[in-house]
Amino acid sequence: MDVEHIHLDEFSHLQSPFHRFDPRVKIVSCLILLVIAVTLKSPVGLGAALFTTCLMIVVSRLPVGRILKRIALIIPFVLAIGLFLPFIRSGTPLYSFNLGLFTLHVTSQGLQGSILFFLRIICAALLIILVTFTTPFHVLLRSLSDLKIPQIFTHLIQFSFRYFFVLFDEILRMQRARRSRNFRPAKSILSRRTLGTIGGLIGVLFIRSFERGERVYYSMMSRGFRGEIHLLDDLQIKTKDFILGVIIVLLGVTILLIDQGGWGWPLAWR
Amino acid sequence: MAACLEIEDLYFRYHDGTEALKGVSLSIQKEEKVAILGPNGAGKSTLLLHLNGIHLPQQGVVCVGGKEINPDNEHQVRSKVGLVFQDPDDQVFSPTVWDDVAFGPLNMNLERAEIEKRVADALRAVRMWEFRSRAPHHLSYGQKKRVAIAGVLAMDPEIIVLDEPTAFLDPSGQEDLFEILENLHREGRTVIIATHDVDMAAMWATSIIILKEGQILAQGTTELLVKEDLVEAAGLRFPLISQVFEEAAVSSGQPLPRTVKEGKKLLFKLTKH
Repeated sequence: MDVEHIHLDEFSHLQSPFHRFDPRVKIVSCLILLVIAVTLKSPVGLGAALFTTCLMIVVSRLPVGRILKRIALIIPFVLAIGLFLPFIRSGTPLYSFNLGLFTLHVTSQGLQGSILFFLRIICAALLIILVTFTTPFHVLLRSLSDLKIPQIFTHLIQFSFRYFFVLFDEILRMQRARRSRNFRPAKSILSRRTLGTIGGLIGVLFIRSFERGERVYYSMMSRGFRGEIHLLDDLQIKTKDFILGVIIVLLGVTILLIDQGGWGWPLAWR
Repeated sequence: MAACLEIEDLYFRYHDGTEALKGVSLSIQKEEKVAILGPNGAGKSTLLLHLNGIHLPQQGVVCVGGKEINPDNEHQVRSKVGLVFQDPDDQVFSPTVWDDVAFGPLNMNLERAEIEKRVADALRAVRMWEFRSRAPHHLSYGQKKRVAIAGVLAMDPEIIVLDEPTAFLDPSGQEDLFEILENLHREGRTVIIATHDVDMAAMWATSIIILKEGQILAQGTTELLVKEDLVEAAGLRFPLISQVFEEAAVSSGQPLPRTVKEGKKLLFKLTKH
């Protein structure tokens, strides 16, 4: 195996109240909290949401280092947008760049918007990490289909995840085979030969995937597949799960009230 | 003995016009160990896809247990004839090993307890029970192969068909596979393999089918594997043991050995006096 084993759910077998939490209730309640979090409009409200999320992470005993690593993955995207925001909101200018033809203003409203945006994304990402880190991947998929997410979507996720590694392996092997025949990509990607080779690689990959898809389908049919993947439903929602779910939603509602009720900075935001 | 699988005058042509099968007729008895041999592109894989109704005959008849496969019963046939694909990555698609082995039984609408029992039995039979909650992409090739076999075993088919079962397996993986095949046979199943491995066929099979260019060249016992003209026509070679003893057997008037066991016996006989 060439690909280093990638685990989406390496911490999903730890023990914590959050791991024992019924995944369906967990998904729904955390989703509600997430929606609330991204609609918040005051730093206080967002602070409260972030605090709640962090609290839940502490309860779930996930290693903080790994969570920070995951978060770091989205930082570039957030920054890219976050850096623009201060310039495009109109309001009181804090600082101006004179670029000759036009002047760019950093507005205080824009800056605050950018900070809020940043906090919202972090909060949402943490919630998603919390759910995916505490639920084994296959249980997550099963829960999604229990929640009436159409099978086509869960199957897409499932097959993409399963065959990503197979395809990646194939790319690596093809790359190695080219290198062993002394192929060196030219400095510029626009080189005709390099483009041709890479185009060929992509084409072959498409054809191979198509053929594999056919074989996978045949093998599924061989085992009686008739358009639907059946599942054993062995998940049961207990009162405990229900209560925990309600608590999370109530926390969310409280945060929303704090946000709207206006402690601190408030009304100017609305 | 009764024929559990019969094919009569089977033709199959792909969309692009390639004629993969051109009038194949054969019959396989119950509890036989059959090896289908033939060069690349002889139509082996296409033939295998006909055995459980993935491909329906364009012309000709395929009968399993005396019943002709047709669009109405193709789904029942699939729990009678289990097909193990060459590349386990094509077959093992579920997020966990357990889920994958349960896929077939779940499609058969069995009771929950029965499904659990079958999955456990199948995984134990291939010694993969300890790996039941693993994700397939964390397994080695040989392990995936065994999971693929378990996935078919769990459907409890009477006939098990394996496409190139030993391909890419290391020697100990091949040993394990042999043991699994022997156990399947001992349980009273008919086992059919498609292979290039002449030595394996000579040692293991009770019946040989040689396929070439979509037609059956010969069907018989492992004796076929040392018929010079046939072997040459089919693009095969003699089993290694037969090659070693070729001259010695001819000059001493003994039958040509085909397996290690027979070879040892002949060697003993020749050196004793």
